[in-house]
Amino acid sequence: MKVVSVEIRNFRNHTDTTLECGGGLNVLVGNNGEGKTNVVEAISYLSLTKSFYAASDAVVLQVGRDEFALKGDFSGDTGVRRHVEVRYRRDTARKTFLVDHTAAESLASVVGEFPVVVLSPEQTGITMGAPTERRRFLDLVIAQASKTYLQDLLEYRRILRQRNKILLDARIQRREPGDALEPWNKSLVETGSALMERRAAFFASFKDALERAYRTLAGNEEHPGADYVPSFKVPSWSDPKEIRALFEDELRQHEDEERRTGATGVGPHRDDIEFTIGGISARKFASQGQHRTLLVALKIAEFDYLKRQKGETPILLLDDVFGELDGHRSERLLEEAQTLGQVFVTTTDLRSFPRGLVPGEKTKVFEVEGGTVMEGVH
Amino acid sequence: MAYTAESVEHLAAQFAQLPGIGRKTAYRLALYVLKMDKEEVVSLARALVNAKEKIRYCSVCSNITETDPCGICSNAKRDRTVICVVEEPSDVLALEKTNEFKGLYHVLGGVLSPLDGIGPEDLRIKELLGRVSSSSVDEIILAMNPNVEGEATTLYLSKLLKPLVGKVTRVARGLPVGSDLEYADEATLSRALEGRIAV
Repeated sequence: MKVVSVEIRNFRNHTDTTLECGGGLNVLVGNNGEGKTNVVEAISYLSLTKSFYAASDAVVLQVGRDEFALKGDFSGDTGVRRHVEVRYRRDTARKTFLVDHTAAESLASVVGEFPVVVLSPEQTGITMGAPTERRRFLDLVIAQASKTYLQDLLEYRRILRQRNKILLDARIQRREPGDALEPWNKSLVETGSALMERRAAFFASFKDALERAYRTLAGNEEHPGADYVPSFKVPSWSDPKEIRALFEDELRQHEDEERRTGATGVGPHRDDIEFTIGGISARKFASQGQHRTLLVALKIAEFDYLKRQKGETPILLLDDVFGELDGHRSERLLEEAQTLGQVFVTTTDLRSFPRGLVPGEKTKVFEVEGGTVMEGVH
Repeated sequence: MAYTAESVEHLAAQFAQLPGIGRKTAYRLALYVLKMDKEEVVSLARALVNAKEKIRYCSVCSNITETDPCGICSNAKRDRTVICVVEEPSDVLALEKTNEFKGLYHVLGGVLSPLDGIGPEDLRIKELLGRVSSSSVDEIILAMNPNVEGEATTLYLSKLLKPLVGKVTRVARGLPVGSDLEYADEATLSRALEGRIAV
């Protein structure tokens, strides 16, 4: 999949921007705050239906405007042209997607149609931060690969909110939730187990890709690992009944705690990933450099996984990663990225790029200044 | 503030309260009413008041009706041993259009949804259990919407009903008739696979 062109209207500091993208490396250069990241954000928005930075749609809409609109022309690996459009209106607080000029049934139906892999400084949280960040990473990768997973995930969140409401009401009113919980328990176990099975299957195929990517980047014999840590121990993933029985049992064991806290104590919303380097916890013991290499390797492995699952090459969005990586690592990353597919890179300084960066059919350089984009360096 | 007369503003505001009617459509409707003959307008207003005054809920199945019990519940030709449980009166309408179901209905008046403050006591579940134990019912069909709340309601009811009724069933989830397999969304397809039956 490649972005052929993007149109950005009233989105962040871009009032009216059109980008004719190159098929290989696209470099967005400009000072901080000029709007480089916003271009990358717009592309991810068209793909993931939301921003990887902002929590809400209203935030990315320009101040004083009623509506923002993004349009993207894409081209699939086989050359099939696809068109996607999103509009968000302030007064209705609604966003609508058009895919190939037809209204999308739901936002979920758009996710995965235009696969992207995003690498940005915020994502260092995946290896260093809280479990939420790791779950977000996990969900975003698998959801792009599988619509069933996304559907289950949305259902699970809804079940969780309903179930937590019962627990919370009961706690506030100082009474037992009683049999009101029972139907929700069943749904929670069923949908939750389906999510966990898919996560486990994901790791089974993701580990090898991660190891390959890490070795290419680090150029040494350090051995990385990524292990799925579900909220309760599952000895084997082969028997669906067994997993559900374990889940039910765990719910019973968490009963007292749930009544105290007023929230569901066990399930995939409490899952985690343990990253290791040489068998030792990365979160606790890895150096800054190791963390960065691990993160970049994760993203390349994600790229690999999505490409295999979808039979479509994802678009790689690298936002401001060269400030984070040293010269050697960024050069390796860029070399690697260029062999993968279409890449968008933001940078404040063209000098941090390897020589051989010649604008041409494959490489395009865009200068971003005050919310406008011009091709070439001026 | 008002660009037209106050009475038109008022009418448009009334229309805008209806579901699916935005501000623009509300004005269009209000201006259309002005163009109508007076008799037509009076008959529209009467129809609104009439419906509100005459319609009540069936004391047996809770469907909307003018007579109590409703036409379906009092129809001697209907199969009294089968009850189909639905969320809303509109679901009865949809099922009746099929002309396939000859049993009786029971309208719950919603589904379990703690977030909206709807628990078992807010639905007509007690009435359903009363019907089941006071008459000979062989089968209960649960026909809730295929979403999280519908699923929880189905699970809740099936547990209550199983000791009382010989057969508790639920409507199948699967592919829409007349559409192509390739156009079905992945979630529907995977549910359809899950619920496959032997041929």
